[in-house]
Amino acid sequence: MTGVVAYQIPRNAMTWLLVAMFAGIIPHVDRLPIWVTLVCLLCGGWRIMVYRGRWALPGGWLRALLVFSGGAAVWGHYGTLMGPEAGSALLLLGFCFKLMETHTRRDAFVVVILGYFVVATAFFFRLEIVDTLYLLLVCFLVTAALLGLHQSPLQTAPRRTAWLAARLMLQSVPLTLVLFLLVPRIGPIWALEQPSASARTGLSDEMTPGDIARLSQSPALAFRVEFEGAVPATDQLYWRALVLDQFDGRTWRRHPQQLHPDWVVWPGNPNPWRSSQQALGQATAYRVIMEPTDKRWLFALDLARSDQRGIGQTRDFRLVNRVPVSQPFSYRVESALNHRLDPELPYWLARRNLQLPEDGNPRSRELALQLRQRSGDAEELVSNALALFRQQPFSYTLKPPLLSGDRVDQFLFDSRRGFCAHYAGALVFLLRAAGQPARVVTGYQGGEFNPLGNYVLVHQFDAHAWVEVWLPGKGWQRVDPTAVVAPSRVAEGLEQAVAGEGSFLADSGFSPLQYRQWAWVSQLRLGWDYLNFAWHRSVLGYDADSQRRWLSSWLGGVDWRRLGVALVVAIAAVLGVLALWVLWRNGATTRDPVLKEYQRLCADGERRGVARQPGEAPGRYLQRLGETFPGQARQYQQCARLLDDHLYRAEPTPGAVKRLRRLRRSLA
Amino acid sequence: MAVLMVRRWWRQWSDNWLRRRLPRTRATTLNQRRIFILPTRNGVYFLLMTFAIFLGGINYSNSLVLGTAFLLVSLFMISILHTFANLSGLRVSAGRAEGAFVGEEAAFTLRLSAAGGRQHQAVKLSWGRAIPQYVDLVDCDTAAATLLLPVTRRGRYRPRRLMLESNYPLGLQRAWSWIDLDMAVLVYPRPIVCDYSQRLHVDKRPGEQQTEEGSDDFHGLREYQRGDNPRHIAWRSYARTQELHSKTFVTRRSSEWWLEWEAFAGFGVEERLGRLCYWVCKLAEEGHSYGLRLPGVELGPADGALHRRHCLEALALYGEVQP
Amino acid sequence: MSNTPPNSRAVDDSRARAVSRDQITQMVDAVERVVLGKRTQVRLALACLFAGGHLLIEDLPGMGKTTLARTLSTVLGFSFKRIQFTSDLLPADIIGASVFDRERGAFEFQPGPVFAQVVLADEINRATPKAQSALLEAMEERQVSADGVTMPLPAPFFVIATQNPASQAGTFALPESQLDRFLMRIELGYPDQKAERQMLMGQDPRRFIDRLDAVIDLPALQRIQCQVEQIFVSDSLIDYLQRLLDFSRQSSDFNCGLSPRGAQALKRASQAWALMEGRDYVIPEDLQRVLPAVAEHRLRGASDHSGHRGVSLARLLADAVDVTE
Repeated sequence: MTGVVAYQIPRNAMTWLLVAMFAGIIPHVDRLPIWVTLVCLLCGGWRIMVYRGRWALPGGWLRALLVFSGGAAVWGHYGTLMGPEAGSALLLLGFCFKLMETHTRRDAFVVVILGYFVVATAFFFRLEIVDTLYLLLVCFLVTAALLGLHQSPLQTAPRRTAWLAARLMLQSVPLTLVLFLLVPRIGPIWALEQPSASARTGLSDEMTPGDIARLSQSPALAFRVEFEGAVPATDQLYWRALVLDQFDGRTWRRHPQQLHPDWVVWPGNPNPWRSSQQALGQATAYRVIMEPTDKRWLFALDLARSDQRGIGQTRDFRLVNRVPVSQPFSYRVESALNHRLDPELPYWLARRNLQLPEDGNPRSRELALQLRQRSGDAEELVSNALALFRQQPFSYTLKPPLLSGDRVDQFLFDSRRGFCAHYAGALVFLLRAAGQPARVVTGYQGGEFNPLGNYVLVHQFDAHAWVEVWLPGKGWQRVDPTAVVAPSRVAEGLEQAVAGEGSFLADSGFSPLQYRQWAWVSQLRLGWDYLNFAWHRSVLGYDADSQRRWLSSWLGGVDWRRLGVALVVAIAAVLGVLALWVLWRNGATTRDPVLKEYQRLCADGERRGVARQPGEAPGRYLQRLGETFPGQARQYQQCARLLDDHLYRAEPTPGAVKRLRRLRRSLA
Repeated sequence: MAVLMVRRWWRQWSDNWLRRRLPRTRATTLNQRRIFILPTRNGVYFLLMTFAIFLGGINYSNSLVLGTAFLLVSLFMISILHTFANLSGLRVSAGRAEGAFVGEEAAFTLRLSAAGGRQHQAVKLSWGRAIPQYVDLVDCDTAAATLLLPVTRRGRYRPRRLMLESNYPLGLQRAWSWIDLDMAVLVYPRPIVCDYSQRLHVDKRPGEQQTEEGSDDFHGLREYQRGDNPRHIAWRSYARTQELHSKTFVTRRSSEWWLEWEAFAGFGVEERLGRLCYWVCKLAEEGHSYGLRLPGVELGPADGALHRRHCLEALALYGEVQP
Repeated sequence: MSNTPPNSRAVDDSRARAVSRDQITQMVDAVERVVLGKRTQVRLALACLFAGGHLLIEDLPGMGKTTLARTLSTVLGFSFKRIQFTSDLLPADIIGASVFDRERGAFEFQPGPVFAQVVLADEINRATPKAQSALLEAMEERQVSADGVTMPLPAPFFVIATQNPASQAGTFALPESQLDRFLMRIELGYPDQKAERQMLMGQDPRRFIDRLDAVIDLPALQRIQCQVEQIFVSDSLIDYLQRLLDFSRQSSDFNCGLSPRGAQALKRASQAWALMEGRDYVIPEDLQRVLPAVAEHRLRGASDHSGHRGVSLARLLADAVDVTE
């Protein structure tokens, strides 16, 4: 049971380090340049050969060369050595290189530290539940390696090491939760550019109807919305994101002024266009938890208002974030669904929303003039225009024909088949040509209600474009020509609208969304989404705000002192319970219940001032107790007899434990 | 000078403190009173790493990175408990201690047992200049460890405090305890090879034998005299010759050596003892019977392991005040 | 009856034990009439006999060693021989020798005093090691070889040896390696005040020895010895015994632990003690009671210097080892 001191890394620890290395590379593979992965695998393979005693470790020069060229290559690839991307590549390389030249316990410890860093950096890019579980597994592997380093060389069973490491990890969980919940969240200490993952799907900031023959739909999640009250009807759910008010005959774009800082007002600053927005009636409050888009725009029902720091309101009443949203982001919004916007339209704004190319689409312009003449006022103009879509044989399709040249003309008079972008673009063109200010709004429409979590899921395929038209006295009004052509698109969603066509998610590969007709698939999908939703909302979205909200509901008001006290008390409580558990000696060193009773009797006796002497037989001790407490001599004598019968006599008496316990209680 | 005094004072103070807190015992069970615990250098690095991860989490406002930092801090705290538990409940008791000659190593056997029914791993025992030993108590209740302590001075040797330490499971903390185990051995003089001058070898040469009347060995026959024990009559010769003879017996004394303190007059005390020690070992090895005379001590001639031991003890303790 | 119900067997056993117990009490009482105030030692001596072991009585002269031994043998009512050990005692004086028979012209073995059921070896340390080992061998083997013939000793064969602890010139203390041939070693010690006064006031109780009658006969003794073997020893007790053994072997207090023979002796002696206490199972107190007599002479304290001198080793052992787990 004793070992010699000379140190070498236990194979046990080495095994776990190698396993941890390979497992640690995996979450980074898709993001890192391929050569990093290859170098890492090469190092790992080499180390395995060393481990098996086939190869020797590489020489010092080769190692130095590897390290230097690794660093240079990372610099070459990222142009920097800082930041999460380059940093994690460097870390991973360092992890593998260090593993190559690990001889002493100190080296191995450095590898372990690097291993933890590799896990931590992976969290910059991987945030889903499954990723988290996997990275926890890697964390566990690294811990097992660290544990293996400090076991004595004679304990070589990797499984035992793993078991102990798992125990350590599990015991750390409660404390981790306490820290996670109670350690005060503070904002970034210095501003850093958020790491962003590769290309994201999502809304585009321009719209070119007729360019594509097929609208590709993604089943990916755009955002989730949790309403504080009742969920409004689906046809009310127009999630505004962008206002496209410039048209060049082909493409709808944002006016350059929209990118100017003056276009946004931040909370706390005086709102110069406060008077142009009037909320009527109750506001609807909800929280949006959105997936990263790498864009600044946010999604909200109009008329939206948010007090959250870093969220501003634009002149066209949208919400934008101060920085691009590169991490899952959650914000609370209050929307007045009943509202009046820009009842007085400033001249410059009217002009901008009447903008059209100098020429082109003559048939449409003529149609617009006819409509104008036929209509008494603006409202009649809009309804006449919509009636046009209703009366003519327009149809809704995800596979429209390509358009070129006078696209609006072609669409309105020839093809008459298209999706939301076609209809919205055409309607705005008509209205503007008829002299009525109008604009295209893009965003998402509708969403899927998840009854499990009472929230609405909005997918990428819910992307939509519609129209806002300015009516005198009423301000901006939402008009959706798609709803006229295909009412089911707005009321029931895209799937219903294109049910006859079979084009729903036709090109997005496998997705459980394609099997919505099967109830159990839907159930599973919604359940899983709920889990993810909860994950995003409670874990990923747990920030200073939600911490304050959560804590004030528990502690009744939050200040530093209360938080500090709560933190210390909670840590002490958790550690106390764990200490009891870890340090608990099976005080009774026996399994024999009768002996246990006797040990308790001894403990009682000691409390009463008569301690059992070492080497004192039970009979003798109980007799001494009986002499000290003559009133109870009889009971002690009975105890002694029971014990003797059980321990030393050929025929043990049944029920001895119970009788002893009863006697002991009567004595205590 | 002042530094020396301060150092001496500090040492005395800490010795006294330890003695009060951890008195000398034959066996002791480690508990919170006896166990000290501090983070190791690796533990500090670990915390620094955790802090770096924490900063990353804060700056990128990434809950999961923060969560990793919290998990690592928790791991650190939990491992304090485990490191402590790895020593706590460990019972250390003095086992055998074997004497040794000056310049050799005395073997001290310690017995460790898990008083709490828990497992203990990689417990390092270091004691003075002995090579440290690691002990595991996994799936067994007791273990023994033998530490070899070099001894340099003749006489009674009592090692200073024994240190038990452990940084199991994660090496982030080190728990240790000092135990003053009541163990002692005798250190025998270093044997010095020399001749033993014949004249001091009590007037007999090796191999020469002396006999005296006794009852051990048959010596011869003599004529029967009245009063002789009838059991001593040589009945066989009577049967042959019809004459009564009595058997006589003698006790043989094999060669006996007296090892005398005075034999090495002119040498220093240790020199004398070393030479006597050499001869005790040599004679014991050769199976002779020998006696030992030191000032104030006389061990009569005898042989066997026990006698050798008595002689060596007398040599080891020469000049020491008896406890 | 061949198919005796188990119950009646148990009843028989307990009845037999009651009979034995009466006889034992009678024996103790009888011996006590001569050896005053030494009840414990008398009982230990008897336990030793019932356990089938030999007894060594060690004490200063004049403490009544010989009296105790003689009284015991008288009470037992068996053939009794006494050997006074002296320095010129030859093995043949103990075992016996072949004598030439002139009439028959042949050798004839004359058995020595060892051929008796109770042998009192008085002052055993006065004889030479050769003579001592002749007796010790006979004790161990329970048979004697002389001139190529092996003869069994009578049964029961019970040796009571006495020894003077103060080593004097011309004595040969029993070699330590052979001491454990004796199941027990007891010391008598001074009589208590009351007993001594009784002795001083009254007549010399030794005169009772001749008037004593044998209390027990051979079949009765054999029955008792048989009952001793059947006394139940539980697992818990064996555990305790093993802990004692382990401690004696591992602790640095002892130079030399208890041998397996010593373990066997402890078990048998405690069984005998339990029987004398009228129990059919052994409790730890029995073991602790016989421990000093059985173990003290088998243990060798570490000659080392930790200041435990003066405490009896058996006591040290009993105090250090927990009775229950």
